[in-house]
Amino acid sequence: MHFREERARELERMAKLLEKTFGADVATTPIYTAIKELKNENSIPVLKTGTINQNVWGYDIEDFEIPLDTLKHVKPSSIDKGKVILNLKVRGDVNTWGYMNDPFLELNFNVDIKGIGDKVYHFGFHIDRHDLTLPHAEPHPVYHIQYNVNPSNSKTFDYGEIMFIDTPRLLHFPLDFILGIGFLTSNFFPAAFGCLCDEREFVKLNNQYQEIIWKPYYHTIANHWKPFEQGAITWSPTSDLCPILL
Amino acid sequence: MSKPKYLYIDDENDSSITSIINGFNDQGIIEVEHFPLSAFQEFGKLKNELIQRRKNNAFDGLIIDLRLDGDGPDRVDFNATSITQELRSLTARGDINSFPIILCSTEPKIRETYDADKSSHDLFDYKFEKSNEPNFPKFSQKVFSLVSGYNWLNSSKRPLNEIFGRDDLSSLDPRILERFLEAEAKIVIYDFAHFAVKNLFHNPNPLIKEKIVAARLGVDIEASGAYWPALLGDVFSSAKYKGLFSEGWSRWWADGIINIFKRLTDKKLSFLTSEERVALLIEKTKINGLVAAKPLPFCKSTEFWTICEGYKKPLDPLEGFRTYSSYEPKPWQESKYLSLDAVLERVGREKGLRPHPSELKRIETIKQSLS
Repeated sequence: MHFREERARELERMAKLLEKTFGADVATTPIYTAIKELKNENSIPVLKTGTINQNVWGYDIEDFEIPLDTLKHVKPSSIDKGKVILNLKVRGDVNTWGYMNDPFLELNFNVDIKGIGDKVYHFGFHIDRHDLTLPHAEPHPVYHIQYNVNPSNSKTFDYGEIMFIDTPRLLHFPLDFILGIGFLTSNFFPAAFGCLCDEREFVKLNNQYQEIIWKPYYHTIANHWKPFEQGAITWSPTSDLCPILL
Repeated sequence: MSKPKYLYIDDENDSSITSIINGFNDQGIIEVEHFPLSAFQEFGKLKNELIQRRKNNAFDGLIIDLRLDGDGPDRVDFNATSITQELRSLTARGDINSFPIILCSTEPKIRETYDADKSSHDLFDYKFEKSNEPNFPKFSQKVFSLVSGYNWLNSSKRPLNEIFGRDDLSSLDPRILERFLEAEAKIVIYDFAHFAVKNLFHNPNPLIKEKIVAARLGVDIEASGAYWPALLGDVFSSAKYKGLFSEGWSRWWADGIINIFKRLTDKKLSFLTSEERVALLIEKTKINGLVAAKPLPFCKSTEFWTICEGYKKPLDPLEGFRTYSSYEPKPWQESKYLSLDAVLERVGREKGLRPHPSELKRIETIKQSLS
């Protein structure tokens, strides 16, 4: 219970900070509802599999809204007001928190963006923890971002109501032509990616280029937390995090 | 329960007073008796008389004219706020039982005196405007409900979930009721009454009015005729507020409405247009006569979540302008909004309805783009 109390207190600190910064522009009720749920010792979050485990902790944030203040980066240009709506589900195991392992068991970070101009427009994306036990055609990095423009999953959704908004500036590892082939095929031509991975030459080339291009990139990021705790890492395999890491 | 009795205290003593008293008494819901202020001109004398009468259960509530120090023949040297303050202190100390106190005045006097004196806003349970043909059936129901609520609270110490008529308080934003959970805090009955009327009923969240319920469900109340009450009564009745003063104020739990819709349709209400919401409601409930609400002039969105306070019609808050309020909404409350058309047409200005100062720049920009 102490663990969940601590996480609740941290969420509360963030809520207070938002109230101080945004005032009436941001409603913090969704955060306080999550805090109350976290503090409720009778409420253990259920995992997607239906599993209930005393070590599982988590919270849901429903419809937390912030104003969309970057309207000049939005098309069509008639859109003059907008908001960003977050729906978030976090589930973790208290025993992996703070260790060099996957911090979460489940994560859905769902963002919907709504704009109003000559009509109502939508855009959205999610950052999810993919359940790697599920069958999938394309290789899925365990944590990935993906567009989701139809917020209510409506069959009759009018795709003319999608707004164009500059993507968040997500950091991305560098790609040259050789590494780019793995990136492109794994996302857009997965069958070919599978065939390429069976080719010794493809794997060797990728190993060589990943060593030269990605290793300095990721080691530099990892070097932010000193000392680099190589021996403590228990999160594996690395291909779950990045399926094109060969 | 016999009819609750209110004493009516005013410095005036003419036909206008009689018409107010008769207006209430004709409804047959409460009994209003004119209090002879001329016999109790001194503050102490009036106070003692009211204490004595309250101890003898000779009245259940007071209706007091704001400017007892006005121009009437029974005028005294103090106004309603002074005597009310004293009575509230006496009830807080437990000298006499708590009871409802209703402020009564004309609109200009309320503006001039009451609105200017914010410190007096916490004293009264309800504000009743004398002029403009008062809606006696509505006011009678509210002041009746206040007496039954006060009596119910006076009769026994009650747990919070009973007071607010909700089994599961844990799913509410904890800030809403936290002041009542503080073990050391001395809570008096008036605190519950004041909190319910001023906080729970006046601003949206966690309770919402019928018109906001309709806006969230995407329904045009008028065009849907008898089908709207059928939907509200048959399908959403479990979200109805059944706590303190619910006989006088019809409200619904906002989360209850969302949850019932979700259970019914497996869809998230806020992401749907009014047409989609109503189509789903018709499909699942077979209440075929429901009609989807349309946007107000200048508005494009039908993803309604609130109402325009000017027109009392559905509005997407993203297209609205926050209204000015003499008190800032609590962090757990939602703001009230005006549509652009209501702002431009100055709808409700006479009742003090106007945009929040922080919206003025945006309104000015829009006005320029329209001209």
